[in-house]
Amino acid sequence: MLDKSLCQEVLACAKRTGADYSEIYMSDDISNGIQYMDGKVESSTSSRNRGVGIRILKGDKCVYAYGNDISREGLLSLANTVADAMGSTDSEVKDIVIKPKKFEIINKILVPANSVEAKRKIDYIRRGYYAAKEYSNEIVQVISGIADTTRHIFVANSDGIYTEDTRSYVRYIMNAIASDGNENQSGYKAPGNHSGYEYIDTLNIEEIAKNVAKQAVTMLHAENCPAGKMPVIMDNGFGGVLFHEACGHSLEATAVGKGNSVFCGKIGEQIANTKLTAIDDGTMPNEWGSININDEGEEPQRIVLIENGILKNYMIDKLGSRRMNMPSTGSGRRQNYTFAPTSRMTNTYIANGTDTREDIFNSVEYGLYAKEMGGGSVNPVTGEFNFAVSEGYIVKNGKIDRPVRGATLIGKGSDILMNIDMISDNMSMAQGMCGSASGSINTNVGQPLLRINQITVGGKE
Amino acid sequence: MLLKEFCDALYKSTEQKNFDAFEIYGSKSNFFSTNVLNGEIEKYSVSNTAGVSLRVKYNGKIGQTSTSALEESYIEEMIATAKSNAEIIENNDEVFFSEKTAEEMVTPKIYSEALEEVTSAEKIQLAKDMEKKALAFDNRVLRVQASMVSSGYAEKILINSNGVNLSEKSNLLYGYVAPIVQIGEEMNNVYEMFSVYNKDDIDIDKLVAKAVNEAIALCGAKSIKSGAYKTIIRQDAMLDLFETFSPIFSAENVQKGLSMLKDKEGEKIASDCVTIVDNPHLDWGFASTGFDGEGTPTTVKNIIENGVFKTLLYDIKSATKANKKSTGNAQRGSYASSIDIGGYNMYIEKGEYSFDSLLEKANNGIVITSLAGLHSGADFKTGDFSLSAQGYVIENGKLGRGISGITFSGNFYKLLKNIECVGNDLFFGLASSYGTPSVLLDEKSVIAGE
Repeated sequence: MLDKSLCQEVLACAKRTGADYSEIYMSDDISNGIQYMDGKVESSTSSRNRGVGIRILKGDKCVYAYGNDISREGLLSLANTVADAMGSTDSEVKDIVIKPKKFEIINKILVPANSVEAKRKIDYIRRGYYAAKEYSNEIVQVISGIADTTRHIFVANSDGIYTEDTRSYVRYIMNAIASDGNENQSGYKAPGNHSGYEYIDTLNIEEIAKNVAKQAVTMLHAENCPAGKMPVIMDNGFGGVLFHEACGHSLEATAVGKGNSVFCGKIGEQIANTKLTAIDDGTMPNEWGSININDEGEEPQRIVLIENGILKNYMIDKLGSRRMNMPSTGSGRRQNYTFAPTSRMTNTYIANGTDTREDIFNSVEYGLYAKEMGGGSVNPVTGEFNFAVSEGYIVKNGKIDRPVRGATLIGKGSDILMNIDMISDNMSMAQGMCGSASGSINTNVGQPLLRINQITVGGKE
Repeated sequence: MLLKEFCDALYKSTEQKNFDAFEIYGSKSNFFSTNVLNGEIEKYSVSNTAGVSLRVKYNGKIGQTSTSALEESYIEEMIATAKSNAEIIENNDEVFFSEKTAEEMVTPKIYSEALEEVTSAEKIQLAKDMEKKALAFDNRVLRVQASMVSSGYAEKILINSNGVNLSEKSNLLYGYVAPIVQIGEEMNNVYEMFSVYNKDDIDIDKLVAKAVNEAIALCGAKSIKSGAYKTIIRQDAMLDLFETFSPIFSAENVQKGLSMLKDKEGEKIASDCVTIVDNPHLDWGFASTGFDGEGTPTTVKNIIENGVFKTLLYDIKSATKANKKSTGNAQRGSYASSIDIGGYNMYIEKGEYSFDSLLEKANNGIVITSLAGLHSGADFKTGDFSLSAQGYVIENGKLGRGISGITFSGNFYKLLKNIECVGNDLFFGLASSYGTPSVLLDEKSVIAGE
């Protein structure tokens, strides 16, 4: 924690040319990663990244400066840089009062990363490696890994906040490649949590490894996916990436506040099928996207974005709140001190519906079952998106017919929301790293198994 | 502590620890960025950062750690962490650090004195001018999503226990403008970027015209029926594809079974008109450098020559494994990154065809101008890609209506063999290590459409 009176001095200095808000943010990350390959520990790396950033706002104008020097001189130099960029005339700054903020520790850390010996970590990844390798002799390569980051954050701002928190992320990574000599196909899963190593003990490592290997082998023997418009059944868990990319980003203040979203000014309007309710909830204990306190010193919230198809709220940070004239929803996040914060997602999911898996399959005469999704991207201005299906099957008369590969889902966020017309009740979440204006952050995506009644499937046939 | 000071102190302490060998890599960067919205500064960001990586060889194994907390008091902990990382490695690959070379290192031009004199105010003005000109260019320009100007100064230092002691500095000015146009209910946006070593090289009018004209041409563009088309991949779209699949040329990926170019040296893997060069010595090349991420002098080479595969790219580890010499292609994304392999100004050599003559040659078909979904819809391990694309129809050798919302799919290995003609419009991306001209493919190679 930086010294309190130094913070007051720096916050005042940063405000001296007319800013109405100043903020100091420090992050100190210690990260470790071990990779297992060819039956051996392939690499082991560690890094420490510590630095500080100072942000000032005047209306919706933002100036940010950051560096690694956290000494008094370093901080004052950053404060002067931002002040000089904001204006040229000094004005009087009232005394800044800051005090420690109390908040609930939602994400308890039982076994901190620095208490876990390398031997234990290696045992976890060795087990996964062999379970995947032994699944089939078509598995030519397995890379298993374990990664942890312990992130200490500190926020002080002219609104009176002076606080710090420690976050701990652990992640287990499985990657398998199947080959028949001519072609390769891969399988991937990487479960993670905002907690200590106690999480890894809850994983069924052998089961995860087997599924990853199975995915690679299945796709090796899959035909190319036929292209065309068809109904698509998306499985639970990582299927939620579709909502995250195609709609979630368009509901962030970053897009809405500047008028760059198709959902601008649509609160209270029906934007989705009446069966659809979507939530961003940063308060779920120990989830990958959860936080005790955000990167602007505010507490996270459970935000109902869409309720029964009606748009209810956006995800808003401090600056977005100014632009949109709406209260902050505690959505200000950033990767680390090298980024100014902006509105970001936490754990974003489509809530359970009442349809059954059986109903959904039976409703499809001919379509695609997207069991596992790859990543995707979206243009927030047009809402156009593109997603890879990493494990897909053709469904005929309600039954899985054959595996297919190379499928992509293409559409527009605003259309897709109306077209999600059947939702089951097995919501689960999956972990991802979301990249946007304030860097790469931990987010969960999630949904129950659901049906999109029609979407363009890009394929190779 | 300053970067140089910290590296020297770390060297002294590490030297006393009796490691087999060690290497220190440090980098420092000063960065400026501003974005203008409605004639006002919307975002302004300045930074001065530095970090150091330490690799030690202990009992034949390499342990790595890094820090951006450059404090004397952290040095002992840093060395201990590197050592404990080395202790658990089981991989038996022999790893060495670079050796001092007798010949003088090539020093391409990558630092411009004049660029350091461009003031913040001038950069802000540049961003304002871009926005203003974009808004004034056509009344269908609704607003400008971003008008961003950035500049960077970087320094790198590499010292190892074999007596290698190198440093280099570089700088760059870059930015982009992204006008949003509206025609009826339809909206569209296009990014157009620049990266230069001389402020006078920026042609704002040209940049703006290109962005706005294309945004208008593609606004409300519709898809086309799925099928095999005679296809031109325009320079910028080809660059994205080329960069995405460039890891297939990494020797490490081949050794790990992640690339399909194993034992293919000397074989024909692309059509005759394709030559791929890696040239780290280009003056004012964005990735130019005299030495790579391990301190090996960089080299100019053909990766593919008239369709024949000549060499993979090697760092020291993969070269040792293959009984070869490093080609000087070790890369570090940042001081904290592990060593990776990649090109330094790696490009497809330009051909003889102008873009218009490529259109004439195609006669009827499509042009792909931009691709989306590269991080998910393209897999270098298989060569497969299935991407969302925008472009134009080609009718009787001329550009026709815009196309959007289509999938563009194929396989990169096959695509290399299906290039019929290479354009003369070689283009390097925004501060990118890669470059490509436009290419014309025969119609068997890709499928495009709804």
